[in-house]
Amino acid sequence: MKPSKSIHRLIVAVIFCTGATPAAAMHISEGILTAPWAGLWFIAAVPFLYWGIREIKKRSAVAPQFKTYIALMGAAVFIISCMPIPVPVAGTCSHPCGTGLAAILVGPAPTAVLASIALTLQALFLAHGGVTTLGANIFSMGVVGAFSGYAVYVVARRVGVNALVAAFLAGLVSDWMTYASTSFILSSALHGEGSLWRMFLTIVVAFVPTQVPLGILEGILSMGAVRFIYTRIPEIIKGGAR
Amino acid sequence: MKFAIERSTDFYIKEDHPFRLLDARIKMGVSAALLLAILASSQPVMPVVVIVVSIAVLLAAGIPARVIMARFVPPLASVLVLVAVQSVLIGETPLHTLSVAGISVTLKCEGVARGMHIGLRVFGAVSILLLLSFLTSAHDIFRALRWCRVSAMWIEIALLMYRYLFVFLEEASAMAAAQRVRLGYTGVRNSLRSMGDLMGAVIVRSMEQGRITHESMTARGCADGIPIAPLPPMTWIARSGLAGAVAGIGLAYVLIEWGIR
Repeated sequence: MKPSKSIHRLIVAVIFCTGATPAAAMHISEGILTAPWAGLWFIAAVPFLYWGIREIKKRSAVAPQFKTYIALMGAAVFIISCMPIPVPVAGTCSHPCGTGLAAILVGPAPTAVLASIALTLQALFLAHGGVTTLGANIFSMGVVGAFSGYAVYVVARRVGVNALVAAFLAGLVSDWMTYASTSFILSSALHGEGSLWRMFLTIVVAFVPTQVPLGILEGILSMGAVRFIYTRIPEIIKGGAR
Repeated sequence: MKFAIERSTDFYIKEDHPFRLLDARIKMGVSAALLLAILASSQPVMPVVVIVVSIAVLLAAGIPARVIMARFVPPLASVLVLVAVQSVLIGETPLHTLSVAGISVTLKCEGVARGMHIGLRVFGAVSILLLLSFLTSAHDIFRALRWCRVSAMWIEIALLMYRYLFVFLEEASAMAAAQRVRLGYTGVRNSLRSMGDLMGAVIVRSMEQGRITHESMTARGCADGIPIAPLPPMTWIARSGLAGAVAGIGLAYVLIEWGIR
């Protein structure tokens, strides 16, 4: 059976009804994934965390203040991810991911480490996300979000795009890619006997009303943040992506 | 502008409360066993029992009911969406046909049952997390994680992040309030500009604080990193208690899964 328009409309209606806290959709809640899927996504995320920790160690050996700097940057990005953004289409508030901006400032692998810590803190002390879904959430937000945002920023800068426009694209792409990967993770674990593609499409459609405008807003805010940082500490942006 | 967080869950319990004084490793071990049992459960009994017991323990520990309920709101949104998706996409047996604005949608029995089971699993697992986080301080959890051989670098960054999270939250709230009184949030264009500036200002502030913190740590002889006090070895009683609790959870799981059918 093909997904009909009516099914999509119903799911979108549910999203509108429950849209008071769409930020929760950014993190896969505790208990949604079964043990094998939860384990699989942990295994997928671990190499990136290892890479990130190794890079932080390497950079801290050269500049000892880097560790403190990155930790406080992580705290700042955590606060940014808690800022409410009004989503015009859904008529509710949501929150930016902040991983695109963090990847521009510190690189993608350390951003994966920062995301893993932020997600652990959110799971343990705010009940957003979960411990068993941590691997999946790190993969979608810290790996896919950070690396896609960083790649777009670097490519855009290399082809001569202005740093502000590149930051906009990084914010936009990292947000949308985070949601696309979250949708894939959810659909892969929940499609059961049905079609994976059909479930993926349905979940993506369900996220569209909030995530399309949210991604654009995150892009604009990333651009604004980079503009502000550039006026205060230009060397952090001038040197390319780092 | 009201931020999504105000305080973390470990704020609510008194420092000398017996639940808080219990070894964090025991609490984490029991939580891990309960989480595994819930994820593996195919019956609704296990999650329902865990939800009821967890909420009762939290209320007995003096956590306000509205705070507990507020923590269930984010997963509730995900659960509602998932139940809707499962109900219309999974299964063959029609349960009910809805007609909303001329659109008819058939809910399937199998999908509704599966959606409800996932929902119960989510609430059961979230209630375990709440139990752990309300009754354990962040520092105890990080020390226990270090004891479990989680990377020292990761723990150190996490401790620093947690330390400055609420400092930056307060500063960002003050900056947002200052922007608001200067009409920074009148109109879409102004609001976006103000929020972008606020994000940039928090980053710049973190860089400044990072330099200051590093200098302070160097002055205190901690240039190589924050020393994490290791946890003492677990006593025989603590180890036996943990083993007994995990065995009890395992037995309960077996009885519920294979005994009640």
